[in-house]
Amino acid sequence: MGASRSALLPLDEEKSICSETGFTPKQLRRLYVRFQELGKRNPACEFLTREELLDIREVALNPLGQRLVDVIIEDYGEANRINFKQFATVLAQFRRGKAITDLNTKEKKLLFLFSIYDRNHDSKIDRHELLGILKMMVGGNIHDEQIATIADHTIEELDSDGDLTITFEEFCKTLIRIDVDEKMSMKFLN
Amino acid sequence: MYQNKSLVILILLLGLLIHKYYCKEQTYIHNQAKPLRFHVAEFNFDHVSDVYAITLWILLGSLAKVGFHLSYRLTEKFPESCLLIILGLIVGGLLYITHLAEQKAYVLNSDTFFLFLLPPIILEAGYFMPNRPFFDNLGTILLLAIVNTLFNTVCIGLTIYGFAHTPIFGRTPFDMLSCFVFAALISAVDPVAVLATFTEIHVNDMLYIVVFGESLLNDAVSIVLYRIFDSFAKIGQQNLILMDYVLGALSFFVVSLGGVLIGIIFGVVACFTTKFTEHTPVLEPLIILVYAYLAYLTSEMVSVSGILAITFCGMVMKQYVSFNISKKSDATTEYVLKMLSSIMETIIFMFMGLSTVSDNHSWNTGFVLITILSCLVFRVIGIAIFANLANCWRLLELTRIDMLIMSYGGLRGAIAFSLALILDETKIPRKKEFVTATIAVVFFTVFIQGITIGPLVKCLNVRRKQIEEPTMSAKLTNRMMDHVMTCLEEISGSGGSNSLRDKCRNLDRNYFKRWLLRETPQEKMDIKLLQTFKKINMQSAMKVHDTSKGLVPTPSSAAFHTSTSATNLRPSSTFANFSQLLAANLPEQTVPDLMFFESQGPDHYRDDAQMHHFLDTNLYRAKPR
Repeated sequence: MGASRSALLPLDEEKSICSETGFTPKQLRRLYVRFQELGKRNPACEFLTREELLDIREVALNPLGQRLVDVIIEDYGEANRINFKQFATVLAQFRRGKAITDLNTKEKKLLFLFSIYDRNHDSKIDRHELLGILKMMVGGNIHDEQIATIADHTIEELDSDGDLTITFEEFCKTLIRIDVDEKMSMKFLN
Repeated sequence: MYQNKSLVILILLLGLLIHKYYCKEQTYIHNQAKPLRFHVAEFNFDHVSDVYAITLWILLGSLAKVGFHLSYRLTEKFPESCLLIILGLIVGGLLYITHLAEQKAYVLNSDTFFLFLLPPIILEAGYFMPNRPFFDNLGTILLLAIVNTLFNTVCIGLTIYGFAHTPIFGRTPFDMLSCFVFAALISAVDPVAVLATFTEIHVNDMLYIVVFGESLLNDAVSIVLYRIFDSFAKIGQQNLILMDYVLGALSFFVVSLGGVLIGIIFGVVACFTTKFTEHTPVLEPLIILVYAYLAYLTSEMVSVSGILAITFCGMVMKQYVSFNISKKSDATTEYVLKMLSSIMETIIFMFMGLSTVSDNHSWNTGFVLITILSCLVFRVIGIAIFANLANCWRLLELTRIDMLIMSYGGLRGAIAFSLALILDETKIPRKKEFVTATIAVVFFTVFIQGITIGPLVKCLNVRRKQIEEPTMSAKLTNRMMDHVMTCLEEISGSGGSNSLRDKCRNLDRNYFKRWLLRETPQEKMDIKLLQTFKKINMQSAMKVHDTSKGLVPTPSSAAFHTSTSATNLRPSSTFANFSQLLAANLPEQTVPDLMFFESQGPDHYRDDAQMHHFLDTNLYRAKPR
């Protein structure tokens, strides 16, 4: 096991992360262990890189795995890597618990979802971005035409101002019926 | 109102007619020998008497249901089950007073109930079970079904036994084993009653599945307990040895796992069979029903839980068979299942009302009151304990209101009643009082709890079932959320239900789908997304077909537009004509023509896309959210 990385978080850092993210100390320590586990290829480094995250087998196999890793590293990390504090911040958005901080609000979850589509950060989802996600999810031997019509149909359903792109407000309207809070929550073990 | 009154009178007359004719066979006087002559037509009732009576009964029940639904006010206040029981009571009362028929003829026969009336209802429940909420909540459901039922049985048994020593029950005390037999049969929540009541109040999926799942899965426990105590009563309390107890505990595992295993085996065999029925699509619904029924009968034969078997058979079949069989067979199977289950439910409730009016009773006020009270109280306590226990691991905690609805929805029904009727009176001397008390509890739960649960749900603002329209965006977002959460769970190292579900899905795709389906699915294909797309396609196509009265041109002659040009999404000139067309013809709600679902040729993908392009330019714009 990597000897040069400390086995425990320094206490003050732990406290500050806990207060910001709402994790309990136990949960945070468990996350730290996981963080180190993921970064075991390069034990000296305090960061996780894209490659290390994509090393996880299930992430690589997941249709949206690559895109998700992109979002995590680009939006929450810096210079193509992510440190532990940022790692905890990302995951805190999906924490299900009694203590609500300003991180695991419904809005943050929706923004996260939106940013999975919107990679050029123009606060709009256009047809091209939607096509990209669809191709990743449906994949396989589906005709491009069919995927294109699905994309068109989706945009048509959501787009209320007729500019053929989906803004964040329009996106949220779809999700009124779906209980986002319930579906996008994880229980972190103690 | 006038219509309703005349329909009710018609029904009553019909009911009387049934029994008059049915009983005529017993008062049929044999005529003296006459010189033989050729008879053009003869009246020969004996020939058809039994079947005629049954068929008239079914007709009576169906007409009654039709009649009830004609009056909206009636069905708003009273659940159907209550009305049917009342009808049964009326007819039973008439028969009793007029002595038109022997009692044996119309008291609920337990064999008939367990072999014919119950399986279709459970099969329909299993086939249409929403899989995802079921497996998400499986831990809670199992906890409630097994431990809660045990807890209830033990508590109710002890309470009744305890009170038996007091003068409340009058006369001689009940012995312990009888009390426990009774507790075993009365403590189980009844799936038929829950189904009948909960489908009318439309609570959210999770609450429904927890109560309903509990009522299905507790069959194993209640069978085992009932059988244990019944056998113990037969063996005699003084003759019991340790081995009996051990075997009793062991039988629980055998009964439940055996039932599940038999169900899954038959389900898998059914799926495998449908792999080859491409040339005989007419047999497909029959295959499904026959295999499911065989699963039930086989389990009953080896004394394991038939309900569990048929439930899991239905669930397995739904997963794979729907891909194999033709669309027509799929629609037919669904309809036949719904029809059978509806009829059987009607008959069951009517029979319960009918059987109440008989000589099989012995009213013991104290006993009945204590039973009802202990059922209620221990249900509330049990739910309170175990729901809180389940909340420790649940992602979505059960709130107090949820727990209240769960306790309130613990209805007892026909299964308890049938089990009470088949008690052996020689071994269990208090049978008559047990039967009466069972009926009292069933009536109490079905009537009082059934009637008031609707207003209670509205009053407490319980989350109702959301009727989702199949929009592409909703489906897409749902699938996306699933993938994202699975991924995040993997990254954070906390394996939740999402990653488990994913693993199952992979296993499913790699092995089961290969063996059991006709065409193996393509890699990474997100079937659900495409299914939704197809469904929406069909609906829009039908709308166009309706409104243009069949003027949709064939794909080959249509000028199709490529999807890259965005301007085609906004039809300009065609739209004006179309709105005029629509204004002229009111779109009728047509029943989906089964002929519509003919299977298409191999290159229907391309035609699909072309057709959709064409329709897209001529359709109503998809409703903006």
